[in-house]
Amino acid sequence: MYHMSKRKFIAILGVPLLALSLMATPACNHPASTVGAPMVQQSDQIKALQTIHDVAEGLLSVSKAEAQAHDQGLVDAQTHAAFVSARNKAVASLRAANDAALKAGDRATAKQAIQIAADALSGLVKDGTAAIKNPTTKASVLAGIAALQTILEAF
Amino acid sequence: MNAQAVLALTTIGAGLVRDIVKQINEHRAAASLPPVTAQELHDSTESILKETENIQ
Repeated sequence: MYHMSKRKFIAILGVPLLALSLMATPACNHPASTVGAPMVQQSDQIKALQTIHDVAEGLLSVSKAEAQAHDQGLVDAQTHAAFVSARNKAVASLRAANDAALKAGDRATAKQAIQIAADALSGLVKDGTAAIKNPTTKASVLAGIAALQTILEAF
Repeated sequence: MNAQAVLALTTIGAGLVRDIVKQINEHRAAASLPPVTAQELHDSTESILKETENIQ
């Protein structure tokens, strides 16, 4: 039976195992490592897209609630038209935010996309809810938008 | 064992290591993937925005 020397044993098994242990070390456990950077960037992009997605879903719910209030006679036609106009402006801004988030390459650009969405909601509060006279409807719409603003602030 | 045999075994060992590392990296990539891709999230949001626009 051939007896392998310690040096040859290390050369055959030791070096590959050392390479394995080094290559399998998770890059993300080292925040300062540039190797882990792309993964962090992807997370920010996905997080921004998910946040804007949540806000879009919320705005859809708020819009449905406002339309229902209008159908029930709680919001007059002129006020409803003002809300729809402001809402569509917010939708256009959210679309821009969504496009910006898709292109976001790092946290700073992802944050810029979130800011576009935040500005969209501020505009909706200012232009869309000012004309609502019914206090209950107004409070509901404002509460809905405030909830969406909280989602954005949490980014 | 001569030098050629050592080299051959080392080459086999390195190939084996590459395969294992590849499997580990694939597993890690799968585990860290978000539930949906960026493009899918974007398109889903766009669909919601269009639905919102259509509420009159």
